[in-house]
Amino acid sequence: MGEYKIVPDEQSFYEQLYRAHHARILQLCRLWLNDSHEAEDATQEVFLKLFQASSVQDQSFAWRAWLTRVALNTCRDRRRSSWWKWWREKPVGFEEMPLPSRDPTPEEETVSREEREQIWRLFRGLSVRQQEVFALRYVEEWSVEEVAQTLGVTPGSVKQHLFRAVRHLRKALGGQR
Amino acid sequence: MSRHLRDEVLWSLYEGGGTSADRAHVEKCSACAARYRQLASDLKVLGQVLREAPPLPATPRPRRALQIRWAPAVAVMAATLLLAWGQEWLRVLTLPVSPIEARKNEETVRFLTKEIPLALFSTAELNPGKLPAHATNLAYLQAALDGGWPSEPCEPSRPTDCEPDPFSLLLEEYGH
Repeated sequence: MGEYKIVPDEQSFYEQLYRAHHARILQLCRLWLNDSHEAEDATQEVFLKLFQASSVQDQSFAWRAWLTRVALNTCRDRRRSSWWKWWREKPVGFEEMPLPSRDPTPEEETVSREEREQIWRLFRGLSVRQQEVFALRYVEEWSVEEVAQTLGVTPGSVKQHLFRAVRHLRKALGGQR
Repeated sequence: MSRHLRDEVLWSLYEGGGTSADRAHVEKCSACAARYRQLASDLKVLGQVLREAPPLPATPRPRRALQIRWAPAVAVMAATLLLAWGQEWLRVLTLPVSPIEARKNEETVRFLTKEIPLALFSTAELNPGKLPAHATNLAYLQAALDGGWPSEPCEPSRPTDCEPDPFSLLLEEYGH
């Protein structure tokens, strides 16, 4: 897990954290909430908490991990709310959502649009726990131990959820990949 | 060559686990090595795709338009029925009263306000002759205790704030 370095200017510290992590947190919220508007709201909530915390917490604090944990808990809270359960009963399609532009990687170029759509659909078919561990391990690239610590479970449990998620995704994509 | 490794073992090796024997097997077995490379590639692609924005669906799902969400539908129907019932209730309340109905109401009111009080509280049949012309206080008191005569004002000789206490009347009767 990369840590945010100390920034001398305290006033711009929050802005630098925002610029460094906003896109990442937004993407995680999209993964865990499966709704672009909800994800934006959740991201705003996360950064509001960051704003409050950054004024009292030391700048050498592990902000990256902290933000991820706060995003995870914020998304969990939203999923638990009764109106969310009611609302999420409807099927949701994919939406084109802008992210900070960058050149596609060679892997991305080889992945067709249909494949990407299917991967997203399959990911959304995973259980909540599998989505959490998969995103933290393979999107955030945390270690299994870090994922376990954040989720408050054993590394063995993380591995179990991870392997089930991987097996499910690969099996479903088996004909294409 | 021993049998090929299971997917779980390959994945465990990818995650840094597994035994040295499993690792040695992957290095020797071309099939398992190919499966291992495929697994690593798949995980890389999955992570990469999920780091990007979700794609727009190529074709809309026709199934969505036909789906009925029962909870909101029932709620809307219940609200509509309630509204209709409320409107009907208000309409009945504000309807003009017909002349026949008005006359019936008037008769009912008259019966309740005039005839019933007259029947209950009339003094027309009261015969004052039945009352004794002179009654001692003792007889009067006994009759009052028996529930016979109604109360009567004090004697003129008595002060206006007469004593209602029956025992004082008794004492007076026996000359104490």
